[in-house]
Amino acid sequence: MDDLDRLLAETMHRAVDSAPSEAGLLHTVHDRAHRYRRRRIVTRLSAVALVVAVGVPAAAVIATRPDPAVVPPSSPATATADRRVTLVDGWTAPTFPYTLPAKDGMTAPIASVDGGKPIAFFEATELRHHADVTVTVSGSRPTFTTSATEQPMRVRGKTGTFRTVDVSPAKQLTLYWRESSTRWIQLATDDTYTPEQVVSLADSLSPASIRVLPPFDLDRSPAGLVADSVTASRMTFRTPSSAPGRAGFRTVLREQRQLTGVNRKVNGDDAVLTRRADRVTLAVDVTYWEATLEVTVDDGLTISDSDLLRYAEGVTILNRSNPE
Amino acid sequence: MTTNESTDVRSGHAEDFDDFVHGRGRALLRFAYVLSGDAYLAEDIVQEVLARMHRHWDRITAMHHAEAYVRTAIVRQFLSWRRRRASREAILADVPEPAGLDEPQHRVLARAHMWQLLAGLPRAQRAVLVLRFYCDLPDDEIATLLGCGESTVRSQASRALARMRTVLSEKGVDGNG
Repeated sequence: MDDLDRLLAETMHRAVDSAPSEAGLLHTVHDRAHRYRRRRIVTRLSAVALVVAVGVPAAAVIATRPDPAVVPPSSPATATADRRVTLVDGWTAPTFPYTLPAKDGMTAPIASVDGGKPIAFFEATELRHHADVTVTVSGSRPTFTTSATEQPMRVRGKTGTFRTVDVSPAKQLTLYWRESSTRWIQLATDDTYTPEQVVSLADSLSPASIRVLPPFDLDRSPAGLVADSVTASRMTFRTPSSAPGRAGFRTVLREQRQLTGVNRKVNGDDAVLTRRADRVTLAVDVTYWEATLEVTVDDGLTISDSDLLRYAEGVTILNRSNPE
Repeated sequence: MTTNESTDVRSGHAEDFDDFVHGRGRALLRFAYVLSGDAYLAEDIVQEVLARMHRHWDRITAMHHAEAYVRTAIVRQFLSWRRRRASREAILADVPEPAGLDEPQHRVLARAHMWQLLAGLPRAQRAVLVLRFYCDLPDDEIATLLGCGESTVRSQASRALARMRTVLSEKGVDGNG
């Protein structure tokens, strides 16, 4: 070790005197963990795997066609030929079509929709014998971005594929199969369960109608559009003919940001309406939520300023929401 | 398992986690601070990593290397955080001229210069130096932790040290004293 090495080591060891105090660390960590739990419950999507792999099943899938399992909003299909969006009163939540048998150590399912795919999340409350289970329904064969070992497995009288992603501290297990000519199902969990138990879980899926819990109440909704994503922070809609994931009408709750060029008011809050050739955005500073509500219409859809404002005025942010 | 047993298990899990944070929280914050050079970021990284591990603590402790696992996650979180904010990455810090100070002050100034230079290093180079000089890890363990080859670790360290040596030499600062 030369002088530079010694100076470097000394610098680092002396610098810790300026490190932050651990006072309050545990409390803050618990707060943050509870926040993540709430987020996880509202919507359990693949993104939660993030940087720290702590045994969370992550199953990124790409759907290529509309999923018939999603029950669209009940609004009449009145999108006009020029793709101008009009509004209808109310909104009907999509539903998830299956459930697992109720058991101790597992919560009732929480349903969401992501990119046109309905998802149900069953949270484990007892982690020694149970693990979180995420069931996703799609209209096409799931695709994955992570490498895994795969083996065929018999499930629900069909041949499925059992994937194992070897990560610490828990291996991610995913079983997927073609349930019908128009429907694929995948069940993701971790190696708390054996492969046989995963198959048993899949076999125990039964028809149900689990209502998706939206982050907002909508007094009005875009007519003729179907729900594409309903998560803790967003509700997006697309035309029935658009591919899942291509939502031209999006309502997103974001962490609060400074608005510049305020030119509108929405329910008394400052708002900025920005119109470009192919996109219109209305950003509302929702002061009591310390968040920014952003409504965007693009991808070939258009809407009048007055309808956009009327839509935003009818959005009620619910406690279960979580800004992104 | 009965409900009471479930509650006991959860309670034990919570106590284990809380004990770990109480016992090792300060060390983790210090490590994150040396790694990031920023007190607020260090807090954020440690809180983030611990919060994400909280629920899976039984699994992590079952691996018998809980702290090593947490430190690895802290490094990866740091690298990821920096990556998302690459546009803010600092250029090599501008080091002020030394002023012919006597020995102890010179040493203090040298450390201040060194800290500035560390702040200006690319994230990966800084992580390698911290793991080598603060954690005293050998290169093979650093390579495993960072998910790269030993040769990469050596070249990153060599490049960083050469850069620092050059700047310190140009400024007339050295580690003697």
